[in-house]
Parts: sequence; structure tokens; C-alpha cells
Amino acid sequence: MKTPNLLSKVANSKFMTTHIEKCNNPKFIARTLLLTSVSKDVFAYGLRVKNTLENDKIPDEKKKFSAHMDLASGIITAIVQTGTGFLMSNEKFQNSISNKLFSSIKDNKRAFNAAKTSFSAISTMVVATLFAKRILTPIIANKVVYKIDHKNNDQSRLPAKS
Amino acid sequence: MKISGMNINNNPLKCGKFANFPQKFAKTFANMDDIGEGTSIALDFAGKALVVPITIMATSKEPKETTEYNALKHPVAGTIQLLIEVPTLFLGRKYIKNAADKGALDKDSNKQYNEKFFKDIFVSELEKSAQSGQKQAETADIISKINKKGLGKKIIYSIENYIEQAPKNAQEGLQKSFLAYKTAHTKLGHLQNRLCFAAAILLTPLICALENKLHPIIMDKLYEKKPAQTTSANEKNTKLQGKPHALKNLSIHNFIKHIKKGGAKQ
Repeated sequence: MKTPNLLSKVANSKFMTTHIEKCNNPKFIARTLLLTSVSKDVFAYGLRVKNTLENDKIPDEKKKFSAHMDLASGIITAIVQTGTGFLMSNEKFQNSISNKLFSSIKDNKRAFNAAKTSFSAISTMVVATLFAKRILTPIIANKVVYKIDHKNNDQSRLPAKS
Repeated sequence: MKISGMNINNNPLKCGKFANFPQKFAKTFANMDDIGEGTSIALDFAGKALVVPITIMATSKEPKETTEYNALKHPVAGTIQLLIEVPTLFLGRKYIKNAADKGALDKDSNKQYNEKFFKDIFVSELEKSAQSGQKQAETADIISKINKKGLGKKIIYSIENYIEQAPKNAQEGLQKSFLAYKTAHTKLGHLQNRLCFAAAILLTPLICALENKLHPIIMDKLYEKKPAQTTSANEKNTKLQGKPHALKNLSIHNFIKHIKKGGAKQ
């Protein structure tokens, strides 16, 4: 199948057409952008877990820790980014912020709505991809893996039951 | 002293340079063009290039060299990602637009992504509506802006203003054709974003593999130069000459430590 034909099939599919119709809603756009970013991250972390486990140059105990860390980061980044992003893109929350931030252009409805749509998408992305992904995720993942590893080490030190 | 009734006029946000700040801030957001995959890539790069290094430098308890090495890994990884994703995004968007403009994405009579088709109809309506010399100059200006920059937010506002002031008999045709043009433009933008996201997902294994290969080479080169510059300045620093090798030998160790701190693409 030629590329334009494949493109045309994808572009005119029921899924794509319905999805694009829904993109008139600022909340839907912000959440779509957020979920595409999260899914890229989760896929990349999954690949890193696979690469680490297949890398024979890393000693076994370090390999396990490293894979745990990537796995934890992948899961936590998905939860934290989705949580903070959905909170930020919440309609009531965005309305109250936009009313305060853009009060100077409130009389011009067209400009106000455009500003609100842009702000909703950008603020959601900034909170999710900068704050949640780059600051919260490493801190939480580090603590979770540290606790799990310590728990496993403590259990392995216990005498085996006969 | 009673101050409750005092009127404070020297609020720094309401005078001087900052007097128009709220309006300028609001207008910046109002004039922003479609936010999509490009914004997502730019923010991801900003996170890797600025936020992660600052967080590591601020929170790390490791020796300065190790901290610096770990912090520098992220901008390097981010740059590799940027160099692959930006050209793909740019060329991908261009390819999809060309295909849509040529009618390759039309399905029978459904031309929902064919921006050029609807643009041509709108431009002919616009030309028809201009009867006086002044209006002709105005429409020529709008058409040249559309051809040069495409349908950005600013040009949308000026077209909407033009339609409001156009003669009543031309208004309906202009409104209808402009709405169809704007809808096709928006739909094409969303389609480009979703397809470029799919391309980014497909490229992720390649980016990860390239980062694995290129990253150690770049970091070794960066750290080879550093001690050489300092040795000429101070003899005491000759001790540092062994450090690049020490850092090379410690790469797995650093990798684990770095992962503890955040785990950028490795």
C-alpha cells in the first residue's frame, strides 16, 4: 500500500475523525497532549527496563536495582503526570485561573477564549512535564525502590524455614 | 495610625513599565498558534536541559565532579532527542500538508483536511467582496499574509474584523467560506499532531539506541577537555588529569547513581 493511501485510510478512519471532532474542547486538547506525552515516557521506560535486563555488562545486583528503578519511574511518572495534568486541566480550576489572569481582555470574548485554550494546554503540560515528571517522579521513585530493596534484603537475611 | 482608608498608588505592578503587563500577558496567550507536538517536545527538552540539572546540582550530596557529570548527562541526552525529533516533526508536518493539499487525503467528496481547496474558495470570495480601492488593498494584504505565514491567530482576527465590516450581500459567502477554511486548517493541524506523535513513538527505540551509543562518547569528550584547561592554570590540578579515566571506569557506577537521582534516557 502506498504511503498517501495508508495516510488517507488513517486520517479518514472513524477513530481519527471522531477524535478530531472532539478537539474543539480545550480540556480534551490539553488531556490528549498530556496522555500522548505520558505514553511516550512509559514506552521509553519500558524499553530501558528491557535494555538494562539484556545488558550483560551490568553486574546482576546492579542490573536488578537499575531495572527496578526504571520500572518504578515508568509507573510513577504515569500516575503523577496523569494526576497533576488532569487536576490542572480541570474546567472549574482553569475557569477560575483564566478569569483572574485574563480579566483585562474579558470584554473581548473571542480573545479571552483563545487565551484560555492556550493557557489550559500550556499550564497542563508545564505542570505535568516539568514539575511532575522531572521533580516529583525521581524523588518518589527513589524512595519506593530504596524501601522495596531494603525490604527484600531484610527478608533474604532471615533464616530459611525448614 | 489609621491606614485602612489609605489609597496606595505606588503598586509596582500598576505603574511604569508594568502598567500594561496584564494586558500584554493575556494578549500573548490569545495570539498563540496551535499548541501540539512541537510544544510537548520543547517542554520535554527544557525539562532535561534546565530542570533536571538544577535539581541534581541543588540536591546531590556526591562530590562536585560526579554531580556535574550526572547533571550534564541530561542536556546531552535531551539534545540528541531534539536533533532527531525536530526534523522528523518538521518534515512530517510538511509531508502531511502537501498530501492534504494535493487531495491525497480526500475521501470521495469529503475534503475535511484539504486546506488548499477551502483556501482557494475563500480567497475568491474575498476578492469578489472588495469593490473599492481601499478594500482591494486590504484584501491583497490579507491574501499575501495567508500565503506567507498561513492561517495564524493574528490573521484570523484581522479576517474576522474585515468580514464584520464587509457589505451585507458579501458577508454570508465570506463567513461560510472562511469557516470551512478555518475548520480544514484546524483539522489538518490536529491530524499532523497525532501522526507526528505516532512517528515519535516509532522513533523512541532508535532514540534510545542512539543515546546509548552517542552519550558516552560526548561525555568522554566533554570531560577530556576540562582537566586540560585547569592544569595550565594551576599546577595543583595536575592530580585531576587522571579523573577522565576514573570517570570512564565509574560509568556504570555513575549510571546507577544517576538513575537513583532521576533516570533520564540512558
